[in-house]
Amino acid sequence: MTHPQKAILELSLAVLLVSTVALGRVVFSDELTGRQIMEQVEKRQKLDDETRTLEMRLLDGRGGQKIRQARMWNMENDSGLEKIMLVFLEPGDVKGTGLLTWEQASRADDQWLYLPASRRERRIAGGGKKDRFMGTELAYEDLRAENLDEHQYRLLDEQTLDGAACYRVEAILLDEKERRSSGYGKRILWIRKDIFFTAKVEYFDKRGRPIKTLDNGAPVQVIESAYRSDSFVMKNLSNNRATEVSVLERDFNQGLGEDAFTLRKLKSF
Amino acid sequence: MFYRAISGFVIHNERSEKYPRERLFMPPHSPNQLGYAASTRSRHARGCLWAILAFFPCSALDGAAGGEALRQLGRALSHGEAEISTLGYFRENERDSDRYAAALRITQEASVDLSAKTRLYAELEYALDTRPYVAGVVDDWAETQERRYYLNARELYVKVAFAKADLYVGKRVYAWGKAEAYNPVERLNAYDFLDFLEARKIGAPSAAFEWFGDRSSVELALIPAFTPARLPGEGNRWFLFPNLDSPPLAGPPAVNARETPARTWDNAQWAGRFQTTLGGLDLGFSYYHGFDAVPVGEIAPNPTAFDVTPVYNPIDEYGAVFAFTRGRAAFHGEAAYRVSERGYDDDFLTYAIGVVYAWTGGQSLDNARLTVEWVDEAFVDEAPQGARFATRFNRPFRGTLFSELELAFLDDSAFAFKLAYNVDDRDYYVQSLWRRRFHDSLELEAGADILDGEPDTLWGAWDRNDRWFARLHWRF
Repeated sequence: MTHPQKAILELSLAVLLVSTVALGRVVFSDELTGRQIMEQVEKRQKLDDETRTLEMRLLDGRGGQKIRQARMWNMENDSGLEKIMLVFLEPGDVKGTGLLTWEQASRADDQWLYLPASRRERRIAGGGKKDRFMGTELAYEDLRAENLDEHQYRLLDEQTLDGAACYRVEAILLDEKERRSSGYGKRILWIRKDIFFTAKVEYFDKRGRPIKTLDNGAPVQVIESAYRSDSFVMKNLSNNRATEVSVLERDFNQGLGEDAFTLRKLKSF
Repeated sequence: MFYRAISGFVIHNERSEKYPRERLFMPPHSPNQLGYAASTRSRHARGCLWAILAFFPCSALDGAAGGEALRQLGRALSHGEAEISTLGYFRENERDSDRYAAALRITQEASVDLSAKTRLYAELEYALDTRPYVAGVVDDWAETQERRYYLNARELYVKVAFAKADLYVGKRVYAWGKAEAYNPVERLNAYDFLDFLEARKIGAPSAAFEWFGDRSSVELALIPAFTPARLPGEGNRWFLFPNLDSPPLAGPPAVNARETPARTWDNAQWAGRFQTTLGGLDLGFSYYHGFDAVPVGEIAPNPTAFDVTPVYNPIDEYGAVFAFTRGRAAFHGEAAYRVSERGYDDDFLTYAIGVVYAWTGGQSLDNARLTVEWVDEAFVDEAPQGARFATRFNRPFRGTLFSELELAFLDDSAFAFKLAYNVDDRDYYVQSLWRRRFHDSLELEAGADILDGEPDTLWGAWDRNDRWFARLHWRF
């Protein structure tokens, strides 16, 4: 690069920086792209690790219900890949059943299911990620964190939800293979503008028909910019079934290491 | 699920001095069948006392002073599962004229933190059966009795967790294999074959140490006391006599008491395995030194009498397992190469390879799972014909295709269809099963087992054992 070119570039960068600072509010509120909104969500809501005790109510749409309790751990490693472990605590027939997921960047995730009755962990196919998880309306892929690089995000519009202004962002999987293995054609995420919190998710099948909705309860501030909901409901619109999840207990940023997400841990409950 | 078992051959001639010879193939109504031989009464009494203490009324423990561990134990043991089952055979069998049976099994599982690093695990069982399958109370770490126990601790061990390792001491069930229907590498636990279609592992008295790396682990296990497989006796529909191509004498043989390996350090069994995860592939390698838990029949050298004595072969076995996924399919496999000590038996490789394909969808289907598995032998190095003969329990699944389809529906019902088909012998076993959950704590399942084939084949030998069954599970 010649000296004049370098000078022009530096000047341009300086102008861009000043503009960005000066017009920061504009950039953050009115001109964010879908991707930028999701980056804000990730940046603000990210915790180093999180542990929750969950109560799940499985509603069959005809007045019947079943209750499950589970403990869930998740963390992101140095490569930005997530590790998740979930173990059922109640009732007795599923107690000790656990799922361990190691997200992978360039291939299907590693997933193991541990069934205490057989004393055996079983590697399960990531291709089954659209399968229901343990009788709930949650699919295996719903248990994964949002991976921004795997999706194309598009800001649709802004709407109000429960009195709060929200961005509506459409998320579509980029990779054709991933799209085929997913149960969804697209998702529309409702992101609160004030705190970049995902208040609601609408799920659509591959023909664009709505199939599920996830409604998060009121957000609770857990640290500076991070908010969490103490409850959510996943409704299946096609069969009227629903899974209500309440967070009974939550810990975060405990310094969980990767050694907390191993087959040894999975089998130790 | 089909039974997960093992195979074997040849012999070991030492007799247990501590434990008297016990009859493996008992006549249908011998007094011994009740398990109350005078020499063992006092042992049963001790076992009773132990079991009563173990099953001490849990609600009382729950509220009693006596430490947090005792309270944990009480709380844990106040929960469990009761299984009430009944079955009926469509036809009578020459060995057993009773066509109907009922059984009750209560299982209680508990894990109690004894300290920050130490945890006690227990799986306690109480069993009743109208068939002569149950007798006495467990009174020893190794389950040496030929029948199940009214009161038993299938598992009872302490686990001490260190930073990078776990130590286990006690009676434990191991699962080192990856296959679904049949696990050639699993030798650490003997099986209860009293009802072949419901075979399950017997806890092994053992000590094990497992070290963990980031993605690998190494486990070493020592089993000082031998536990023999529990085989059906002569009065049992599932009885199988050793395969004798050319019996030394005509007429029915006299079957002697089994000879279990003496409880000495020389006869201790031990095993080790290494397992790791590499780029989406689970891999494991194992080694086992000990005895085949399934006996073979030894023909007496006396040419004037046709005596058969069940004995247990010393073996060494080298195993390997793998598992990986592609798309919606999960592939798995395992293989074990068995070397028979002293050349008593064939050396051979048994392998099982299979795939599990799972899917979901539709308005009524919750999930579906199709398993296909192939089990066979290879590299068979035949030993010269000796005085010992295996039954079909020893190497049951040569050239066998297993398949299972499970469909779980959103209305809490499920259907399963299983098939085991021996390609060479053209004998088969089929099970269809329907299951309905009425509540988290109440589930009913019912189905039928059909077996057919030529009389000299595994399934064909039991072709009069076609049956229906129903089981009620109540979790409390």
